[in-house]
Amino acid sequence: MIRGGRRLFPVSLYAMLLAALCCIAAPDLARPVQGWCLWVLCLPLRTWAVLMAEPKATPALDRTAAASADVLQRRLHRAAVADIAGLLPPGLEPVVCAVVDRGEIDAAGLPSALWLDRTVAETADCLDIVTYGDALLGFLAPADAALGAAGQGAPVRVDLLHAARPGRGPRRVPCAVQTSATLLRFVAEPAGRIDRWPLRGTLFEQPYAASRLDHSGDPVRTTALAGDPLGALPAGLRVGTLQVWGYPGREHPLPIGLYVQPALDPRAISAVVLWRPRRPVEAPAPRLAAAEQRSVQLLAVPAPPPATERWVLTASSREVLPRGAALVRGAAVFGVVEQSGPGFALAAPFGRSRQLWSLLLLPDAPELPPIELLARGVRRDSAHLCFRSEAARGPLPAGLLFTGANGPHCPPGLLIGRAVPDGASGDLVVAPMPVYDGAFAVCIGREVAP
Amino acid sequence: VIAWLLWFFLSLPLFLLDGWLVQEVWPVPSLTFALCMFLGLYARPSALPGLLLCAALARSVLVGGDAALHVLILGMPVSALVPLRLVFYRRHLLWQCTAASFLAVTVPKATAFLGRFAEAVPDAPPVSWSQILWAACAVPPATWVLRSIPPLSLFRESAE
Repeated sequence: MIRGGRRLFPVSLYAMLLAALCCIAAPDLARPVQGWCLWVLCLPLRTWAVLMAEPKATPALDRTAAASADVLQRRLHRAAVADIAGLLPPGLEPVVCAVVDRGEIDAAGLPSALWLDRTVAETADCLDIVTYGDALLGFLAPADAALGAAGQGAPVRVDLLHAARPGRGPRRVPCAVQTSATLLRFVAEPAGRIDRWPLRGTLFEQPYAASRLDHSGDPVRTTALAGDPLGALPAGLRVGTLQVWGYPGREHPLPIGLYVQPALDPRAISAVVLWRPRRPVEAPAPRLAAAEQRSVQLLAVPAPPPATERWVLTASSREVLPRGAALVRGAAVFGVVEQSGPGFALAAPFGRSRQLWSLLLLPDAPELPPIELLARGVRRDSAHLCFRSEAARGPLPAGLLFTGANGPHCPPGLLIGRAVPDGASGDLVVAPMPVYDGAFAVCIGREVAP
Repeated sequence: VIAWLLWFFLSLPLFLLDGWLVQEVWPVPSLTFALCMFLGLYARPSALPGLLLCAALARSVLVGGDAALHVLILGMPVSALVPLRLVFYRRHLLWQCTAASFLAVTVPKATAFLGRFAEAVPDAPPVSWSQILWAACAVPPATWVLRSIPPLSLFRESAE
């Protein structure tokens, strides 16, 4: 039997647990040291991967995935410009852009800026409004040195409606909600970081009518405000839905604040539309380079629960592959890089972790538009991926599931697989494509968000 | 030093073997639980932080998440077992089975709870009674193997 308090209560062990807790609170503290330790620790694994994985040429684009991605592009384009024809002045043409990155967290814990796959020079003649369908999403960032505007070749930035725009002030939007009694006009402005919704209503035309609002969910649309100092906006664009927040009452809540839930969740937006004067002859538009693909060799290794499989990736160069980069073969995505060092990386199957993903669901029914989803991978079984949508919406249709905009290294439009809704839970169940040892590629985009 | 180097480099193959065993042989990560039992009941107290750190680094490679997270996932059940050395007299088999069942419940629970703070860690499935029984049967012999062969035998407590 052991005697002595130090042996039964080793201070060093408890001190280490405390230090680990600190490292979880501030993860960047320990990551550099951990990176070097992992580099040394993985030396035998990398050697094994180099010996076992047979070098092969990168296969050509998988035809099914590529064809599906084309269909997605066409239907996404159609949905992006739908329902807006009568709301904008004539003589404009749409420019559909993909989102490549998102900005820092702002009001209501949501990102307030998007970066697009077009340059500042390309969008010089575009109007400042940014839409998707009939929804107003935000405004093109002004070319203002005080805001740190980038050069003409840099990706263009969109300030969403709830962007605070330091040094310039927010772009307040005159809008209106149709209540059962009257049309109530007000101004929507960015809410606070701790608020539940990103837009707050202010300057109500009829404060008494506003205080009598008793339910949420009414659609909020822009109105034309004569002499708007910030510039006239087209009337009728969808801003979002009204949210009444207040003390619970006997019959209806007593409003303290009135907020607006934006029409689209900024974390799920994968494409937006800019508008420019119609050009007589369409000139080929120079586009930003899409994410590059670096060839890697993959070796699957077993992993203890709760993980089931881990992939060791070895690259031909000593470049450090970025965390979060998509592991692809052609236009299909298989995994995500989770840890990396010079010339190697460790990847996990896509959707197995609890990360929140921006996804695009292309329904089988051709008349339905693509659905932008924000979903988290949940455990089901080892043979299927399962995604649970964050937003409470109705039952989702079956269709093909693609990645949405998940940062510069995981671009939108990569095929995940065919998704079928689970009857009981409403989750999307996907049978993943089989993975074999051999040649894959890792997407590497250009970091644009500061 | 050689013992430490051996443990640093062999901890990763240990978890690889554990993953292979779970896929091919039995349904519980017996070697993970056996390692926790060794650390909790048999290891030299002064060596515990180093052993735990190497194990956490290796587990973070295969499961995902930072090493600090795995220090807590493995370290919390271990820190609960260490004071019980006082009552685990002569390491009776019944006590070992009880400790194995305890680990079969707490390690997945700790993974599920602490995994909420790291998106990279997959969702842990709930533990079933059959898995607890499996752990009670398989972990004591696995612990015996671990504490009998290097490198962990070099960190065994001398009073054992």
